[in-house]
Amino acid sequence: MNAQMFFFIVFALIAIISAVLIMALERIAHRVVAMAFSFFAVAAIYFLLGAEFIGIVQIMVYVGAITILFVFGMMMTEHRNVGFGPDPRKTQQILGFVGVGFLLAFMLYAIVTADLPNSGEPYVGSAEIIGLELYGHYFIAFIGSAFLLTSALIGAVVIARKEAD
Amino acid sequence: MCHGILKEKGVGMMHYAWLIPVFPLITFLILLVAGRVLKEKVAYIGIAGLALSFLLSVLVLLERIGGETYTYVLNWMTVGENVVTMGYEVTALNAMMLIVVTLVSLVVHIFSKEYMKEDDRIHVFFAYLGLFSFSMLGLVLAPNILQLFIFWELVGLCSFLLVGFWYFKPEAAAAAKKAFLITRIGDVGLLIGLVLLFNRVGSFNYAEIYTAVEMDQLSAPMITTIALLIFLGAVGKSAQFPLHVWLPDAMEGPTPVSALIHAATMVAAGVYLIGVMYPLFLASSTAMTVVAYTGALTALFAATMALVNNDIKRILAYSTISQLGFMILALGTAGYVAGLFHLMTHAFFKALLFLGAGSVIFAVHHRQDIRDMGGLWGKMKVTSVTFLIGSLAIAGIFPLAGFWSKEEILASTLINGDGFLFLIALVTAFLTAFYMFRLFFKTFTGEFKGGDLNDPTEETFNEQAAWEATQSAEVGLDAGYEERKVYPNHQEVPENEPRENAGLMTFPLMVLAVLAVIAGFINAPFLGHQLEAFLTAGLNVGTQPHGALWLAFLSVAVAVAGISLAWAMYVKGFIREDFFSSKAPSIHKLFQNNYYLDDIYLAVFVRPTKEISLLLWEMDKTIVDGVITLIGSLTSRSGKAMGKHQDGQLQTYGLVTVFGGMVVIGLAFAVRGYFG
Amino acid sequence: MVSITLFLALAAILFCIGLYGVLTRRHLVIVLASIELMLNAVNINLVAFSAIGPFANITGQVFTLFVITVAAAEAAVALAILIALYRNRNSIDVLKHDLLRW
Repeated sequence: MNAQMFFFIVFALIAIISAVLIMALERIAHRVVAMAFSFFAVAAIYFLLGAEFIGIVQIMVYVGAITILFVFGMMMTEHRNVGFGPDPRKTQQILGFVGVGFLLAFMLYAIVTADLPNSGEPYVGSAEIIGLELYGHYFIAFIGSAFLLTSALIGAVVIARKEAD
Repeated sequence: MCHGILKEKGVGMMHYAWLIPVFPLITFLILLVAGRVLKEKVAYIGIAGLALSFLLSVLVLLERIGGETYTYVLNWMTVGENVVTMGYEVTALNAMMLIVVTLVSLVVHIFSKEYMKEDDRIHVFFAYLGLFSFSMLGLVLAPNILQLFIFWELVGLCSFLLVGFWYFKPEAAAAAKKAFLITRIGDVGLLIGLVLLFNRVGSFNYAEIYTAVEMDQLSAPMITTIALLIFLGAVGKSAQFPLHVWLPDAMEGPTPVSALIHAATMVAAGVYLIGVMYPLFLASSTAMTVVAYTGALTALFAATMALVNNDIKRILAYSTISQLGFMILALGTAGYVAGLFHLMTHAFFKALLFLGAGSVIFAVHHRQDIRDMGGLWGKMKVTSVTFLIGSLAIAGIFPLAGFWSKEEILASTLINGDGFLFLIALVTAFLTAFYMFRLFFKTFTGEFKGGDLNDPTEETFNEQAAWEATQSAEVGLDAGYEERKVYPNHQEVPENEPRENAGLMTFPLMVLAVLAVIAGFINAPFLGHQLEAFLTAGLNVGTQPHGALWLAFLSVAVAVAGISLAWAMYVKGFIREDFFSSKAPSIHKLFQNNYYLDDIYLAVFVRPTKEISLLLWEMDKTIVDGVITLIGSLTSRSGKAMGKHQDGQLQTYGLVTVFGGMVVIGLAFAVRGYFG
Repeated sequence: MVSITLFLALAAILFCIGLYGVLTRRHLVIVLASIELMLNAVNINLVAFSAIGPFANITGQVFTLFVITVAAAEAAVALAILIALYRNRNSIDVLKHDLLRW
């Protein structure tokens, strides 16, 4: 049990528990906070893996921007309501649980039996290498994602805007 | 003459023969488009069109006499190695027919102008007349039997339209339907015959068919089959036994139409068909026998039915059937010229009789029962005299047209037929004279029995009344209009007695009367059988029989006997009118009821067909529809059941997708042993 | 070093929790959050293979960046739709939005 393993277990537990809390908590605001925690834990996992740049981006985009976005979304809709009362769809919940459980079992079985080799030290992806890749090999995709973000920005504004009467 | 100049250039009048049917077609199209606007003037357009056609027909005939057959065809389509052509042809036979058709049609047009003047749909009437003339002229000009068939069907359509002209009258609508359907039976036979002919000969052209028959390209049974099938078409169209039942009912149409149908167009088409296909018939003695006996039986039966009828138009209708039987009989006994000669003379005097009857009906305010007539002799001078001429002509009194043609028919039956046929022909001739003069005496002599013509209590259901009924229903609020329509046949306050009609109606009668007198001379023996020489030139239709002098005397004697009997019964009363009917009431009844043929058809064909149809309908409803309904309801029910699960809930879909994905993964796992 | 199997197992667990949320939560904002969670799980996979996989290289991390980009755009548009939906139908309950049914 070295330090890495320790930190991995800690952050993994935080991520999983936060994720469960997103589903379980009563208030929407609490759920969003749990979500932020979950994202943060995932960022920590990235650091553990030696992907510092991705980890920083994860904190900035997910923990920062998207969480704030969710807070806005929550505020502009039914944030006061604490749930919608008892769910009428018991079958849906049970079947959902069963189905997802089976899927998880499948995946875990696959992961365990895949017998992946364990390399020693992690490959450290620095910001420089990522930048070179982005502006070299993936230049067109990079520009494409720029267009995607622009159009998403405009689209979001257009959709969310109040229709002129 | 202009055609002389044209001839020098090598293009004769016959080259323009195709214009003859085109004129009526143009009038039809004009009236179709502008009929409503032109109103009363439509008659002039129709008359003008037909007059042009008639003029052209005369020119064509003049050129054809002493000329050659002119044929002009274009290739229409190529079927394998055979070419189907379209075009026109001027032969001796159709040059004659052109004159007959255009003349009678023209006269009918003129007559209709007066007769139909009060009808609000006069433009439609004249448009139909134009189409009818066009169809018949096209039929006559056709150089091949396929084109003939096309126009043949058009003629059938036009007669349907015209017989059912007063379609708001149920009888008229039924009669039109009957005419159409019954002639259809014959048309099917004709069509099969056509197909067989094309199959064996490889051409529809008359000339090539004649050649094929002469060169023995067809086996004898095949010739008989084809001839009989074609004859079936003629039986339907020319109202021969047993398909004659439509013709009396066709009297529901306006009287001028009856004149046109009976004299020049519809029924003449059947005889004409046999005429153009004559070499084919001549080649099969079986077919000839069938033709002859059909004609003879029809002539006799129709004449007996005419004896007892009281409707002036129906008597004439039966008389037409009977005379058509005569023509068919003549053709069936190798009397090619005799049959066609009678077709021509009959066209003139039958048109005359029908238009005369129309004139009478018009004068007595659309009554048709001869028991309500009488004593018109003094009141309707022109009509009476011309009608008498027509009656004498049809009875076959020397020297009127009917005498010459009827004598030739008797000659051909005597020489080429057997004694039985000759006897039937003689008896029929006697009956013809009798029933025609029964009609004549009852209508024109004695006292007028129609009572007060303006008596509204008088039961005068007729075409005009029915028309008015619908009219007044349509314009119910327009009181002034209705008042104007009360007595549609006379402009001013009508008199209580029948009187002669306007000149436009009597003029056609006079023209036809003249023709009924002189038309026979064109084939008179002492003038050298001109028509025979004309018609048979270049055609191989066998030698034409001619009767001895005694036959002519016999023929006239029989006719005179018939007339005398009628005179004795209906004028002098030597013999009581009900003498025969009281002696043999069953036979009387048999005649009156059309030999129960309609009832037999009803019982044998119509009812069983209806029963079977009902049965099939039930089967269709229960079994076929049942299965379909079952499948349908199964589908919709299962659809509904499935639809319940399609609840629009995103998450339900997602769940199904998850399970679906798992099934795929599970299958991969089971089959391949997990991604291996 | 921690075995890659554990990272993959963590990703699978997070993914399944997100999927369960998508399938069962009624609040649309939470459904969206669950989707983000699933995307995160995928990212963990990518980064794990990029760092300590059999063929460790930078590509996984580049793709993670793209996924984050797309996720951000998706979140923005989805929330905009959600707001419009709420304004028009006055509810963000998944059960209330079933207009596309048979």
